[in-house]
Amino acid sequence: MNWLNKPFSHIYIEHGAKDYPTTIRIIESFPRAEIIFINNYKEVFNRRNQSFAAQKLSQKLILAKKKSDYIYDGSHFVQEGDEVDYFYTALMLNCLYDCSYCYLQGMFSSANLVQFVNLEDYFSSITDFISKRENKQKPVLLSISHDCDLLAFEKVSGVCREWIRFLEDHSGFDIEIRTKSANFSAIQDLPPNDRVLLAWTLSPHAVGKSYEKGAPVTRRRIEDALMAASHGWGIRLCFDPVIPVEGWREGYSDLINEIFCKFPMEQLRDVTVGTFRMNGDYFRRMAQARPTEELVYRDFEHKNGVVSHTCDERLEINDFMTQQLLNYVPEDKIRTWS
Amino acid sequence: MGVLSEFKKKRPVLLVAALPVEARPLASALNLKFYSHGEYRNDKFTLIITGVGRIASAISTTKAFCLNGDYESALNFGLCGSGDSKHEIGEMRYVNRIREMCTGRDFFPDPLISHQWKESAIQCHDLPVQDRKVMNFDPLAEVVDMESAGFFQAAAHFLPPHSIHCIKIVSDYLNVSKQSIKVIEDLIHLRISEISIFLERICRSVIISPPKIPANFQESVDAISKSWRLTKTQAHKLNRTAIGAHLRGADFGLIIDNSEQVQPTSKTDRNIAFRNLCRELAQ
Ligand code: SF4
Repeated sequence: MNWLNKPFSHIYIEHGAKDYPTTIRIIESFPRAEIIFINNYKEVFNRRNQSFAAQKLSQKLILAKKKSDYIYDGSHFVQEGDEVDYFYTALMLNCLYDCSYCYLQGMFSSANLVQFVNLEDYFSSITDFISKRENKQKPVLLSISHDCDLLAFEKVSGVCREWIRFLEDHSGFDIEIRTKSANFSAIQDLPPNDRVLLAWTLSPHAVGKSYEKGAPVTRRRIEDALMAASHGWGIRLCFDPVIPVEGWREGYSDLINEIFCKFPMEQLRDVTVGTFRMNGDYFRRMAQARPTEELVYRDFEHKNGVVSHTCDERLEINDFMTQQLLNYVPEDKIRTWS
Repeated sequence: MGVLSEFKKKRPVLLVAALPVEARPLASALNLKFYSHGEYRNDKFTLIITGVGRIASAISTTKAFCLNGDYESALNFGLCGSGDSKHEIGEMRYVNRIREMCTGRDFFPDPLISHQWKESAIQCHDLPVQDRKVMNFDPLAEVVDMESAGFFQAAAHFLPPHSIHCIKIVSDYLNVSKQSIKVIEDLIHLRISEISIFLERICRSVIISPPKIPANFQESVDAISKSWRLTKTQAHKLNRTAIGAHLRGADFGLIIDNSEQVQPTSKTDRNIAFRNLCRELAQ
């Protein structure tokens, strides 16, 4: 495929975003990139008739300034219980990886990566939000790697590092950084912070190979999670989505044994388990955009605007995973989506 | 990755030039034959001459797509002026942003396919530009033409942005005196081999076509749909389930063979057989 441009051969920069330190840092990482100035990221990101599949082969980067809506209410697709208020923020749109089951391919018409660079505006927004909350007793968990894999891009953007530093002087909330990367080294020089939850999504090797294109192999993710734990960080492990492929029970059971036989349990915050689920509109668009993905041909249940396994299948998968996990993890640390 | 569908039947590429002087060197290098007034063709390319200006380019491009909507990609090729005398006459430019000067709107080709030229933003004017000060309206767009915005907007109705390209040759510094036809043809001839390489690339499809199950299985699946008198929805679902099984690399020959032996006699039997078949294929 040497007739295609390399990833990030082109960087689109909003005029209003060009002077931010994050922009400058990112551009320095791509000295040979073609820089194209734009007025608004939507001119490029929301062009009609784009091909998500084609763009994944030669992703471009868009550096933009987020102008509003810094904090969103958590999605009902996550496993957080009622004991925390869960919110997320969109610091980046899209991902370096290309998971077959990813809702982003149904959510966005472009596969290009948008990085919002005006971190100070996010920081003042969250400070303001926390100070105005009514129920101040209830902990707040803010996911900063929603709609993206922020840690995967950390060596270039440094955004996670900025957030972790910001947290040191601002109380009232914790953050979650969920990843499939093996990029802990990008933040390992920072002192561990127990208000930061580093979460790794793990899948059996066979699932990773077929359904998580571009992401590091599971072994490297496990090593990274172990390394972060050994540095004293609180870790969440996510088996989500569990993809039932041929031999999935053995695959997931082996994976659970592989990780928990070495994992320092005092660093384990919790484990999440979930099955495939997606907003129905996203699934329909994903099926159109990625007709070569086996998942879009599965006989999922479409109910109340959600595409998922049937209730029985979900129960079967969750029960199996819970039973396996209970060999190592106390029940109150296992969270499932069903 | 198996994404390149190089070997499927190729669709032609639409080449769009404003003037005969721009089109002639391309037509002869690509061995295109006269097809109709202002149109040259071979199996791989259709070249149209649109006349000068944004509107003419948009109209002719739209007409070409309406007469044959099935182009793999479209390329606007032509001359451009530059306000910067550092640019050399004869330099090639791949256009990555088109500023339509009369509306102030920008259009963005999606540069997935590599090339060997410098890139530029371009200003698309409705009248010939002879005053360099005009360039100050968009100093980041260093070159000027009169067609790109019309071409792009028309082509964008039919193709994804990664299949729409503009390449330009710097032919003047916005001065009044025109280059002779001979000089222009020579400038283009010097670049023909580079252009040919790029044209080979844009002939290929970047997108994989939707998967199909092997022909013999497809015949069996169709035969089952027919003999079981499946409803349209059921037949569609069976087909999709079979494609899914094929993508998983499942060996479903035996399942299909066994199902061909089943002959449901009632609607209820048919529905049960259909459900079972789908379940087996989905395993
Ligand atoms: S790592 Fe997460 S965000 Fe990235 S493609 Fe996979 S599922 Fe999507």
